[in-house]
Amino acid sequence: MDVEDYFILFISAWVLVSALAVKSVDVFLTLTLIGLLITLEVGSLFLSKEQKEDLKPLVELLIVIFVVIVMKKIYGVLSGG
Amino acid sequence: MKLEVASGISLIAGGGLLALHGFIRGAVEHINLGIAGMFLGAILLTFKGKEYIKKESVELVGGSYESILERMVRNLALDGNAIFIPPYDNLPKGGLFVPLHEDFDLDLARLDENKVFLTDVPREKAMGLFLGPVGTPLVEKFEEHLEGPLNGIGSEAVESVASSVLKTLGLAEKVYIEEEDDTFRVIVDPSIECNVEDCEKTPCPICASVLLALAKGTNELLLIESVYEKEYGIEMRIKKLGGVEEWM
Repeated sequence: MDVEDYFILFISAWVLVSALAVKSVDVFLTLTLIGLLITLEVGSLFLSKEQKEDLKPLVELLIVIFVVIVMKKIYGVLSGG
Repeated sequence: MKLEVASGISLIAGGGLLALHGFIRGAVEHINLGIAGMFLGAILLTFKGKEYIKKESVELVGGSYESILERMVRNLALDGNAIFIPPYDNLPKGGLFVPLHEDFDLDLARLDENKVFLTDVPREKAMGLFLGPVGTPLVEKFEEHLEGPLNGIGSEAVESVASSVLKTLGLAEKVYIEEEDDTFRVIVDPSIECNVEDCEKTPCPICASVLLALAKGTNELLLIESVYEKEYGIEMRIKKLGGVEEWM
């Protein structure tokens, strides 16, 4: 198996377990972001610059979603909801 | 269309439909699984959308070039072993030099990128064959992964980056570098078939890339003393010859 295959296996297992285990889309997306960041950090030496560049938009999208989730929570706390 | 690309697109499309279905029905599990499918589809396209050739093809194509080099070195009766030179003004990418005699004298000021046969030197001991930057494309790949130059990063960092890149490219299973007083013990376990005969003079691009990166990472000229094939890989004894300024 290639090193890439191990990454795909890890991220697939992480995302599938997260999808099935949590009952909230917000928590699932946050866990997905964490899994992707772990993969990028641990595998940074094994991934080519091209692959890292290709993964960037996905990470940025998940960070934007995470910021929206956090803002929503802050709004919820402040409005007493 | 490649299987990986087709699988990636199917996962994105299937995941999108499942997420939409979950959204309409208000089923959170379906939404999560749908998003997971789209996400994994995107990951699959990122990691597996590249073209590969078979390992056997590399051996078939590269083998002929290696034999040309070996024949050239034998025909020129070069007694000295390969010396890896770190980058300096004349050779911005560094290079591999095979001296004419075992008891050699190196005149780096007379070397440059366009020279192959070094004969216009005052002493015969300084003559030799400059094989240019063998393994340079792989060294560039090491630097691309490191996101910076290898210059002076040390043997441990070279071991780490060379091992990662060669493993990722499927060229070697491991790279191990052990520093002793004035020598290095380098072990490379290549994934492709390797013949150690004449490796002291004309190492293959895989071993050459590791040694050139080591020369660059330690800023030292490195001489291959011996090469052995062991059960754990190709073991090389490398002698440190000092920095570029000592040979100018």
